[in-house]
Amino acid sequence: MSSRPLNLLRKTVGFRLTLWYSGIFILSSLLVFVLAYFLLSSSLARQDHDTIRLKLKSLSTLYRAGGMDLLERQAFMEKKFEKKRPLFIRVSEKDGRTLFLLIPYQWSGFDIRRLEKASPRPGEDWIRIPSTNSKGVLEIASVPLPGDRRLQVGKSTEDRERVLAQFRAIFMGVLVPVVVFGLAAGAFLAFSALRPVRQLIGTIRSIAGGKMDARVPGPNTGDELEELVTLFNTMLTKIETLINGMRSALDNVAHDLRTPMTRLRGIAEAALRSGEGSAACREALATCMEESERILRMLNTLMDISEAETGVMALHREQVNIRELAASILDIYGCVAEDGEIRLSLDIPEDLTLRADPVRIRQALGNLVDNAVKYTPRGGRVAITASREQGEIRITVRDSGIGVPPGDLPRIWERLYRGDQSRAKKGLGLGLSLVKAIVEAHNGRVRVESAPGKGSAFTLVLPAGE
Amino acid sequence: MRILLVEDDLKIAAFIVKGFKEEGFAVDHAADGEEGLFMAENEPYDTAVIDIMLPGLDGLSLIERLRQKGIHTPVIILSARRSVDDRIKGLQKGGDDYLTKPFSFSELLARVQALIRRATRAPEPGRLSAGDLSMDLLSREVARGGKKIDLQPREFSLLEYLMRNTGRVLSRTMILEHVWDYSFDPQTDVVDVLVCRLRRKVDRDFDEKLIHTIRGVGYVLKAP
Repeated sequence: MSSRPLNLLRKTVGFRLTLWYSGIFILSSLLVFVLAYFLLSSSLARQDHDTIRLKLKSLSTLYRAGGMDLLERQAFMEKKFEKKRPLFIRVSEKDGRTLFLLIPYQWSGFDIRRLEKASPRPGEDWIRIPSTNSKGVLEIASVPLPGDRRLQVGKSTEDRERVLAQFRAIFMGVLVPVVVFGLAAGAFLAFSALRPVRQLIGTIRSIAGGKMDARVPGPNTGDELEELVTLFNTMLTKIETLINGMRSALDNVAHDLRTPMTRLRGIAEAALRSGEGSAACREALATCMEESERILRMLNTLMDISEAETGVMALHREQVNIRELAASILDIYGCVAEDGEIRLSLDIPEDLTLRADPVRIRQALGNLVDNAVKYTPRGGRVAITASREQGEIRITVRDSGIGVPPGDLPRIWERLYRGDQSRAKKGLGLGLSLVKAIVEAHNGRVRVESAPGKGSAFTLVLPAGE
Repeated sequence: MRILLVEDDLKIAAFIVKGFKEEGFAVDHAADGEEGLFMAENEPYDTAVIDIMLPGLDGLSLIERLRQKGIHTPVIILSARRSVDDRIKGLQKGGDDYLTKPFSFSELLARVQALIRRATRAPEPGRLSAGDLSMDLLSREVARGGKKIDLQPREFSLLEYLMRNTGRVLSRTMILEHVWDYSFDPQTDVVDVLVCRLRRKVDRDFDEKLIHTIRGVGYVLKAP
C-alpha cells in the first residue's frame, strides 16, 4: 500500500504543474545546449578545413615555383615554428608511393599505408583515416601537382574533439544544477499559482463545516484567479442571503400561521365541547372553512413575499404598457369604488412602457389601489399617475384618505404590521410587504408620503429597462 | 357520466369519490399512474381528474401518454404547486384545467361540469332563466317578474355566469377568473362587492332570494 500516497500526490494539480514547469524548463535548456554543441562542432570543423585548404594552396604554389626542395623547406620551417598548429603533409608519386611525409609527433595511430593503397581520385576529395588508439580522425585533402604527383595536407580532429569534450563536461556539470533549479522553480511557481485555489479550498472546507460567513481573501492580482475568487465570494454572499432568507421566511411563516391556526382550532374545539345541535355545528364548520381560506391566502402571500425577498421568484419580464395595466386594475376596483363613492382616475401617457413581470407588477399595484380604496372615506378620490424620469418609471397611487401617522410610516412595510386605524379594516396586513418585496425583486424601490387626514401617495420607482 | 380519479392520497380520494357519487356521477379511482393509464385505455370516461404528484408514472407523463395514444378525455390537473409556470406546463402537456390544492369540492365539481359541457357541445341557448328571472343573451336584457333590470357589463357577466351554472356553487376564484378574465388575488373581496351590487338589483325587492352565499366556498344561484 506504499504506492497510495504517491498515487494521491500524482493526482494533485500542484504536482502535475510542477512536473510540467520543470519538464519544459529542463527540455529547453537541453535544447539550447545541443544546439550550441552542434554549432560549435561544425564551426570548428569548418575552421580546420579552411586551414587545410589554405595550406594546400600555398604549398602547391610553392611547389610550382621552387619544386620539391622549396616545399620541403617550407614544411620543415612550419613544423619548427608552428608547433601549436601542426599539419600533416605528404607528397606522393603517380603510383601512390610516398615521396615526402611530414607527420607531427603528437599524432600516432594513423595508418598512413592506407594512403599508398588508395587510388588517387580527382578533385579535392576528403580522405578520413581513423586512429587506432584515440578518438581522433585524420582528415586529409589533396591536390594534383605537376608531374602526376599529389600533394596531401591533413589535420587530426583530436584538438577539436578535446574542445568539444570540454564543452560536454561543462554541460554535464551544469545539467544537474539546471535540473534541480528547474524542479525547484517549477514547484515554487505551482505553489504560488495555486495559493488562491488552496485558500478557496480552505474556505469551502470551513463553509462545509458550517461557517457560512467565511470569505476567500482576494489575491488582488487582476487575473483569472482573482476573478474566480470574486465570483466565488459573490456566489457565497448570494447563497448566504438565500439560506438566511429562507430560514427567516420559514420562521415567519410558522409564526404567522400559528395565530389563524389557533383560531381555527378554537372554533372547532368550542363547537365540539358545547354539544350543541347540528345548526350550531354547521355554523362552526362554515367559520372553519372561511378561516382555512384565510390561512391559505396568507400562506400564498407569505410565500410570494419570501420568494421575492430571497430572489428565487421567477420573473417573466416583458414590455408592459403601464396605462393598460393600471386601467385593468381600476376596472377590478370600479364597483368597490362606486359603492364607496370614490372617484378613480388615471393619468398615464399612452406610450409609457416598462420591462417587468406584468403579473407581479399588477399584484403590487393592485395592492396599493386596494389599500387606497380601503382607507379613503366616502366622496374621496384615488388617482394613478406614472411618468418616466432618467430611465426610471415612477408609478404613484395617490388617495385622499385617512393618511398614515408619521410615527407609523417607517413600519408600514413590515409584515403583519397594522396601524391603529387599519385594524378595523379587513385584511391580512401583508399587502405592503408584498408590494415592497416585488418592487425590490425588480431592482426598484418604494416611497411613501403621507399627511394624516389628507391622504397618502405611494410610489413605485422601477428601472425602465430596455 | 363517468369520471376517472387518479390520486394517491386515500383521504383526498375518498372525499372526492363521495362528493361525485352524491352528485350522481360514477367514479373509478386509481391510486397510481400505471393503474390510471390502464383504466383510461380500457374504459371510456367523460372526464379524468389527475393528481400531478403520483408514485411511479407521474400525472404529467400520464396525460402525455394518454394524448399520444389518441385518448382525448378532458383532464383536470390537481396540483399542490400554484405557480403560473406549473400551470402553463400542465396545460401544455394536454391538461384542460388546473386546480391547486387545497381546493373546495364545489369548485372541482363546477370545473368538471364545465369540461363535460364543453366536450358535449350543448347548443348555445338564446335565453337563460331561473324562476321568474330571465336573461336574453342577444339583446342583453334582464327581467325579473316582468320588471326590467338594468345591469352594468360586469354585473351582467356575473349574472350570466351564475345563471348558466344554476344550482352549482361557484368559488370566488372562478368568478374572478370568469368575470375579469384573469387570476389576481385582491386583498379586498371585489367579488363580494360585485355580488352585493347584483343582489341589490336582482334580489332586494323580492321575497324569494335567488343568489345565496355558501360560506367558505362561494356563491350559488338557485331556482326556487
